[in-house]
Amino acid sequence: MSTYDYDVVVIGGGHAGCEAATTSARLGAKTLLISHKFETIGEMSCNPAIGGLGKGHLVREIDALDGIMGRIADLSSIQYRLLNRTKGPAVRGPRAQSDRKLYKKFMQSEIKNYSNLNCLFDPVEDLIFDNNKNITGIICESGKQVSTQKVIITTGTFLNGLIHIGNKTVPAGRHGDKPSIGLAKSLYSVGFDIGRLKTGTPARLNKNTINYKNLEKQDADNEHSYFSFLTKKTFNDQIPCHITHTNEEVHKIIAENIEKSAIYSGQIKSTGPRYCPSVEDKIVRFKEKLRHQIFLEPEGLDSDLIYPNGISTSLPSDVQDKFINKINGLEDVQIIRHGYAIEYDFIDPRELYQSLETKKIKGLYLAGQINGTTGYEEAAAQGLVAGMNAALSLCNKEHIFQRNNSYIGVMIDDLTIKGVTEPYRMFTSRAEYRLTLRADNADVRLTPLAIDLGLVNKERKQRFEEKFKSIKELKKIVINQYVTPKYLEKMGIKINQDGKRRTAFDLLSYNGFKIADISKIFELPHINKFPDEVKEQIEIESHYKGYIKKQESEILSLKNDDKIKISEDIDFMDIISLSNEIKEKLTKIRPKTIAQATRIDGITPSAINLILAFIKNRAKSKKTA
Amino acid sequence: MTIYALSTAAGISGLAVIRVSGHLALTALKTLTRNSNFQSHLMKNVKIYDPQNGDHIDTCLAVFFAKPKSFTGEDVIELHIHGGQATINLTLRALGKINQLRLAEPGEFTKRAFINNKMDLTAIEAMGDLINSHTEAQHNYALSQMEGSLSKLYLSWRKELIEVIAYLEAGIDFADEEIPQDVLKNINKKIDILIIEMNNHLDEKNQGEILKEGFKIAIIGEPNVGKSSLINLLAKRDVAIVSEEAGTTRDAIEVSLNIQGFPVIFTDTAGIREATNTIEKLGINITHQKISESHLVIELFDDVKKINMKKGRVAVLNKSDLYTNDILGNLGTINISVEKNQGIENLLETISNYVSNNFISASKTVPTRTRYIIGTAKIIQSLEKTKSISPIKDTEIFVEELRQAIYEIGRLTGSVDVEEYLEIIFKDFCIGK
Repeated sequence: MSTYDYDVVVIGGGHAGCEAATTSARLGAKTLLISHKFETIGEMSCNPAIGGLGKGHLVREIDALDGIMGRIADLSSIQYRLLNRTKGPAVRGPRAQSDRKLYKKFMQSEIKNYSNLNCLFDPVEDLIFDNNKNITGIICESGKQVSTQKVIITTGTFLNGLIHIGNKTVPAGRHGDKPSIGLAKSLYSVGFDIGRLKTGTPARLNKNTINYKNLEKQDADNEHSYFSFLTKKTFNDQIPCHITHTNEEVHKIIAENIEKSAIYSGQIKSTGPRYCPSVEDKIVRFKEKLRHQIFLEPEGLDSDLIYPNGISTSLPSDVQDKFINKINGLEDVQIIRHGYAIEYDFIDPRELYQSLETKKIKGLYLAGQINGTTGYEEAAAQGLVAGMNAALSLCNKEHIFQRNNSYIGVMIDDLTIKGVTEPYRMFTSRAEYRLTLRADNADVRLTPLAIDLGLVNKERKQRFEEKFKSIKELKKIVINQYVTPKYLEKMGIKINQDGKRRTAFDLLSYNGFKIADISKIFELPHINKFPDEVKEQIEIESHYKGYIKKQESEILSLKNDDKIKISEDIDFMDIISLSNEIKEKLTKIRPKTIAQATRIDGITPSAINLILAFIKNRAKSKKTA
Repeated sequence: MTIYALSTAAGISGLAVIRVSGHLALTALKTLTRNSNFQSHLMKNVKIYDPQNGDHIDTCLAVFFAKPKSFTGEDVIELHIHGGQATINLTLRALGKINQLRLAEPGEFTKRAFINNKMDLTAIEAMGDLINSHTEAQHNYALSQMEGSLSKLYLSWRKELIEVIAYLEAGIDFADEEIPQDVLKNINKKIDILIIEMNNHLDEKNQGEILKEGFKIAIIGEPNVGKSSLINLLAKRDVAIVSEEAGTTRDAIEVSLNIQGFPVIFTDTAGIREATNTIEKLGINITHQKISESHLVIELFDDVKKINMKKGRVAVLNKSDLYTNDILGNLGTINISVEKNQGIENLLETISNYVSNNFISASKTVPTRTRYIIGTAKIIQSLEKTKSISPIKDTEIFVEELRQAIYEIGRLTGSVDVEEYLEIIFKDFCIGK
């Protein structure tokens, strides 16, 4: 029996914290989640939406690993939209507007009722280490101490958070929350490399004061793409978003007041995300653009708040009032809360192993925005990785996701190898194996692994295994059915009369053929009876088959590079002929395999050869020694 | 570690250059010369001494190149000493007596230059060519490639392709944003232009081969018309460059001349062809092969009655001293006499004109290595495939082909990071809600 109060302690109750705590608990570790207060658990502190391109992929992967985010997002969705519906399945991203209150409600009830998981509401003031820099516990504001071997910190932007509204600054975490100064101090004292980032949020508007008459409406899809593989129905009414635009008058007001913006006055020096510029940034950088799009996103079914996505700003309140009132539909709008920019510290994620454990402190894990990422989905995915590895490490195990099996793997690899220069957000373009890493097959890719790790509950396991079996069955049928071009011609199907026999699987990739068409051509009525999700898998696989094969062979060669381990005791400083810059980089990042080393920026092919040669010589001299 | 090595060829020569590279290079120079006053990039007359026994080794020239403006990017010194073996050995030994200096491994200077970003891969390869080039044209070519005209070309393709991919990726990853649709219109056009450029590059490959391997001329003709004699005569000229292939028995069967700065290789198949009957067939086969490999064929005759002018061949009449000018004037052949050493200049001038008309205008971006040719062909292949893919409906597949192309370019120039796409996306489009 453990002599510690808890096996794993998670600090923070945001998206990373909730996913970390439940994952750890799911693996059987006795877990404690500590936060300031119960009411903020599961808070969506930015816009009320989950998913999108890359992000939707992450949610599906979390769900495939039996994480909670996908299910909670489905329970609170008030507008499903599958992005890129007209493009190929690999780049379709499930997205939904969420009811902020519902999301929080379901998340809180999930956390409260999760087995193996307890909560404590008492700000953490300090971490306790032993002489070997191993975590042994934490101290709370109240003086309460909790002993544990594993601590996961998921405190978001709480590290030295500073809010900017015009020239006013307020030290704070999220709006209305106090920053965690004690914990910050104790993290700084470890000597981690710290960077500073910036992000912003727009004003919140009163729904009932918006004139919707002239605004473009954006409805939910007719057919809903759920986040969770377990969700089979829509839980809430679906409501529309509206779209409006800035205009030249708005731009003029902003331009005239630009020096009052915290970003342009020089008050903010840190880097903001390029993909989420403030409205003043948009106007300065894209002068030729006469208007910018604004999505008016409802915060909930019974909420009076509207989130105007597209006009985040750090202009003073009076300027915000002025320009917002010039926007079509917002002439008489009541601003409930003004927009602001927030600066915060993050810890260079290259301080972390791919398990998200810090290299400097054994037993300490970091997940979420504290690692320089942005987004609920990115945070939750890291929470899952940290929670899983903290729990696994109790029995000296770990699991590292790979670039070739998941977006989670892509993200963790990017973070720990390349570091970040702006808040890191997932894009599908980051994935080399994009055609393989699809939202639709996240379960096929990851659930078997999750079952092996003991992450998956009975219901999901059973359902997945049924689906998986059906996929294999249907695949076997379609690859064993042959047809001649002559026969197809007789059926009225135009096809190259090259005399080559084709399988039913081959035919699926011809101009949009579905299993239903195959069933007719081959007179196989029973294949229509396979579940839609099973048929879809076979159809998509056929659609990409040439490319998937190629990617599989690339993955294989990557795996070979991954097999060449760079052992922990290799001193890169000993590799003669490596430039000092590269030596330092390698020493700092400490790649574990040749494959990782090749992805470090600035590492040349010849450097790789030198490392390889060094490893080989070393092995040789060890043998002869 | 600081490394040193003899940089000129081993053997007796007037001068020898010893190069030292690394942070202790200047210290080594000061130790050897007992002089501490060296300015970067300025040559100086010095005496060098053994650091242990104080023996005077040589009086010579020395130059110091302060980093990063040196061949390797590190501090470098060069000692231009006298070329005797004893002097070289004594100097190398003297350097070896200085702490933390060691003899360089083969190619180590170049490797350091590469690692310190003084050269990219194409430059390194060109460096190899420069060292091995025998003629001015090869030299110029290798030089310009080293300065990066080839990598400039590949980098320009890379830049174009990154932009195309970035625009397509913007449409994928920012589905809800207002990405102007007209950016897609130019994509097919851009790809077409790239394909044309790449095909032009490939068309230059023959020139590349000629530059590297020489302009090949096969000399054919019946037995005893004087082929071997012609080759041997050419081999005696002072423009003859290499005769490594010189017959192991008595005759040269191949000789290389420097004509207009190009290496021109004359090959004779005589020795084989005139062998016994049993291998005559083999000889004929080899002759045919030589003809097909050559850029120009010279057919040698020794009898005006047998002259047979064939298209694509230069007809040359040997033993022309046996005929009168009247007869020779109407033949249309180039007339020589190997025995009398007559008309050879005329023959060489004809060849020289042919070479310069066809190859002097060689561009600076000839693909001189097989991997450039194969790489370019693969890139074209992927680009061609995009033509049957819709960039709007099947964007991700379209990009997949382009990713393959950019991967191949990466093998020529260094890899491409996703950051490069994102940079363009965020620079060119106003993205972000």
